[in-house]
Amino acid sequence: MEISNFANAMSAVSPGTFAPDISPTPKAEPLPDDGSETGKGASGSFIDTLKGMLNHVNDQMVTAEQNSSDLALGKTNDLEGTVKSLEEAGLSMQFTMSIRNKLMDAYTEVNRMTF
Amino acid sequence: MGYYSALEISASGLSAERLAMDVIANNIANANTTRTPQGGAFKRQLVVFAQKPGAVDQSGDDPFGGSLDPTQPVKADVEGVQALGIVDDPTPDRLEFDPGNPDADARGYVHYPNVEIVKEMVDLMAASRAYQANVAAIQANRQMGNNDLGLLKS
Amino acid sequence: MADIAPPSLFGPTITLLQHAVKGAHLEHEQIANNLANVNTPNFERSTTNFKDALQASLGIPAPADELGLQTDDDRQFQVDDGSPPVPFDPQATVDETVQMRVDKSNVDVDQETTLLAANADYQSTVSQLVQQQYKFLREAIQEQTN
Repeated sequence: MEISNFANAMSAVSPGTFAPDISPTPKAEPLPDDGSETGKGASGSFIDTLKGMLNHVNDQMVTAEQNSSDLALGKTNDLEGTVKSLEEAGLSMQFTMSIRNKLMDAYTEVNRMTF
Repeated sequence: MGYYSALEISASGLSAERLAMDVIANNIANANTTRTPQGGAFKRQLVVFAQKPGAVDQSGDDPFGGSLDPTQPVKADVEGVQALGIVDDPTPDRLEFDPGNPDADARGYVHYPNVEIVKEMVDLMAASRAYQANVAAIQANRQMGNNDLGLLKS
Repeated sequence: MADIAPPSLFGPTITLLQHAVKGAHLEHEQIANNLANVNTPNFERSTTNFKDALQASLGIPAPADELGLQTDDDRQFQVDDGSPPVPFDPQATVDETVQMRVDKSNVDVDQETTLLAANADYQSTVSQLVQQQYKFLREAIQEQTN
């Protein structure tokens, strides 16, 4: 393949610190089985992913609250860590909210179909 | 305790220190005044400060509010500071021997005020620093008030 | 039938943070009074210990190890069982340390000014944390992200 030859040629010229790995791109993996929204699909991995995401956001919220509480009580002086955990929790929450809104929109759209 | 009580406390500090500075300025201006309307030399003046008593609950069976109980920490009533009055410094006049002076007494000594400029300057610095500290307290109060109002913003 | 408190939107964290803001205000009053009386003879400075009151309002949890004292009867004492939550109520107490100033006042203007700045910073931090909590609640309620 010309590309790998080219890469080899390049690394021969340069002091050999950069040798990109040009292997053929792996075959794309099939998308996870998209079960229906009620979770009765064949594999159910979508619903598991969703639950995992919600648990993760919840954990982040709990961590952020705990950090805020510790800061208020004077148990820690780590302002940057607290702000970081609050930001992460907020962004994760917003992300989840966007996904949830999109799901709701998709569901109502499908419901409106009348064929 | 209303919202403005901290402001009133700091304001009382400001007026008290300003009064102290006025009295000190008067002392310095009259440092060599040998004649006063009351007769005799000028007497150095001081301001007497005291804490303004807070509203103590006198009703009920415990008017002292438990302050006689040694195991309880003493509760604080905060209202600021007040100037109780301006009093004369009782230290004796400074005497200088100068028989030719029209204000000399029978022995030839002239009575000069008991004002020491250096001490007055030091007192002035202390009053000025206290004034600035009270200004800082008012600024902090305003900043905290703004933070509270910021909670209303979404 | 026991009184059941209506469910509240505001969990322990947000209540704690609100109490912290209030505590910072009370502390500011004490510091302002100390500063106003910096030249008052025989004055004793006062302070609140609102952070201790904050911790007490959460209750102190019992230690979680299994080596706790085994008791057979309710009348036997528990060792370090923790304490239940106490309503937040900081009191201003007088600081009776003696200082070697000629006018017997124990106010140090530098220390008070530093405490003033630290307290104002603390209030600023905690009020922003409260604002953040309100923002989370608002986003969840409105089902909208800003």
